[in-house]
Amino acid sequence: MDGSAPTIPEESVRGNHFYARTIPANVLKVIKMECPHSNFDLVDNEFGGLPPLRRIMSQVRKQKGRTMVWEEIQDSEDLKQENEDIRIRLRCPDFKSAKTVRLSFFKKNFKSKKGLENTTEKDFLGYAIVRNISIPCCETNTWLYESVIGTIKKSRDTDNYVRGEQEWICSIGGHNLRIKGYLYAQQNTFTNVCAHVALRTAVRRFTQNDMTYREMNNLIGIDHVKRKLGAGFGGLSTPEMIKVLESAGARCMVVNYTTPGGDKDKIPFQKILYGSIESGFPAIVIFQTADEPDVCHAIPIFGHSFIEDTWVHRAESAYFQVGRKIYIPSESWVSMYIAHDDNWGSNFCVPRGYLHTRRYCDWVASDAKSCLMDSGCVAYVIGTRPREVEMDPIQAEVIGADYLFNILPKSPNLEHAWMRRVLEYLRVNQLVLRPILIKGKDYLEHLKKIRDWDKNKLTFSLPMDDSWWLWMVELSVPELFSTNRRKIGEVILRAEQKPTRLRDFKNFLFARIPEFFAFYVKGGAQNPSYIFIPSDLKSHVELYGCEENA
Amino acid sequence: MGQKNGKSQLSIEASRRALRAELKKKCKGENIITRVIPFDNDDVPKYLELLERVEAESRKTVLMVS
Repeated sequence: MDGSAPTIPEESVRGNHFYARTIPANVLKVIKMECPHSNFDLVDNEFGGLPPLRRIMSQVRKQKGRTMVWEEIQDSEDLKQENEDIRIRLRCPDFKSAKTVRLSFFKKNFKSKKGLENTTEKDFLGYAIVRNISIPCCETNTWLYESVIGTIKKSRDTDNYVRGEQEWICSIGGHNLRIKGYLYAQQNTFTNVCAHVALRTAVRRFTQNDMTYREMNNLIGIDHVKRKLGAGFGGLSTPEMIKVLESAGARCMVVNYTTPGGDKDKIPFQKILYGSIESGFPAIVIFQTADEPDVCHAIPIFGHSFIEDTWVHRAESAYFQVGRKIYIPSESWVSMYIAHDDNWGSNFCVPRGYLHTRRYCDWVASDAKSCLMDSGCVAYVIGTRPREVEMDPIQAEVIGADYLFNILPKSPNLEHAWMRRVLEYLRVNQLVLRPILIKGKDYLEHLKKIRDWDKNKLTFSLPMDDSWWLWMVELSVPELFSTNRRKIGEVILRAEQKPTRLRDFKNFLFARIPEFFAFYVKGGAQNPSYIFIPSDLKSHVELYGCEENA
Repeated sequence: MGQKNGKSQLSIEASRRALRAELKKKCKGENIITRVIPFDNDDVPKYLELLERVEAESRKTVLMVS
């Protein structure tokens, strides 16, 4: 983390005219989207068949959008910055501004600006801002500057989980409306590239504001004169991407998979993705592409779908092994990752099994780059979490497993039906672990809400600081986890403390198992002594986020 | 419970002590059991070392993303 990195100004400092989503419009039209209106015709005729806009229109159609508001907007501060940077980059002094259209989508049927004024946030599906430049001496380009469309949580056949969505305020015809989601943006190819737009999606999770491309470029030292971006000039390097994220308040976990095999196989990239998104923090996946292996593509990932009846956890490859500790990571039930791809649009589902770090090709395995089958794979992964959280999700999971798997066989109530079952699941490597990053207040709320199978609840509350960051590593078994969404217990780790390899109990707060809380008392790593204090919760309880009394 | 730079200043030992005391009070000190449970292998410390090494190496990697 570079201590000298600038902080991003607060929204209140920036005002309503800073962002294109809130700037007033010169032209406003209300367009009925129902049949016979054609979104295909609109995108073809007005936006040159822009693929990401087609994708956005599909999502609006799916969410039963009935009315669209078309606004030709003035240049806000962020658009002015982009115009100036394009002018410098393309050396076109005559270029002043691009045509910018803001489209907003509504479930409600209305015909006029008066109808728009009567809409509420329940009617609002999101917005898209499209820019077009046409410079005779240089270039023509149309791109989707930004869009937020709420993620569909329940699709025809899957449940989608997106945590940490941010709130975006839009001003449509002077009418302020909010939408929640992860911002999507497309690169303009002149002053920003796919790395910038992936960062823009991720950074806002850690800041009050949307970071502008100029702010990112200033951080890195890109001035569009000495160092340019775009085709033939390159993009951002992975260390530069990390620098932008960390300057915004993120702490990154990164693993490079360009040279697969060896130790990397012991750190599945899915664990980095899941460890971030399950706790509500985005991750960025970087691919090498088959047509141009030296230039990579980045996409932000921020959600996942869950499939109860998956076979994956029964397949050998789904086990996670740390020495002799073998268990099933909860991410085995993920069927899709939810991601934006700046080339094609927002809120796509990327099949979990589609992503690989390596496509095996034994006969040229010694030289990955010589084999085309090895291209198009995951090359690098960046997971994120808040800056103050020292412990990463993989450390949390394995440290949690270390304590839990050691305590379970020596617990004082081994005759208890659920403890007997747990030990049998442990013996056959079928325990499930799920790490999730929460605040102290979230854990206290969770304890208040959970009930065991006989409806017993905790009759007291714990003295815990609301502001603590905790890793809760939940312990379950496959059937209970996937169908009942319940767990046997959990281990609670202090996340702000940097973990060591010494088993020094610096992170271990306590473990909860049926009938007991287990606390470390003394003895160090060689001979740790625990006390088991009775708990009101005698059997399994709801997973975090699945509380029945929520 | 003070905070500095977004971090809680209460030590892990103090946190555990406070939590233990509250729970002991609740169960009136009854049915509390003490066990010494040593670790029987070094699997996790070795894995944490590997994780640290791989991440440090990965941070040095420079890929161009555009």
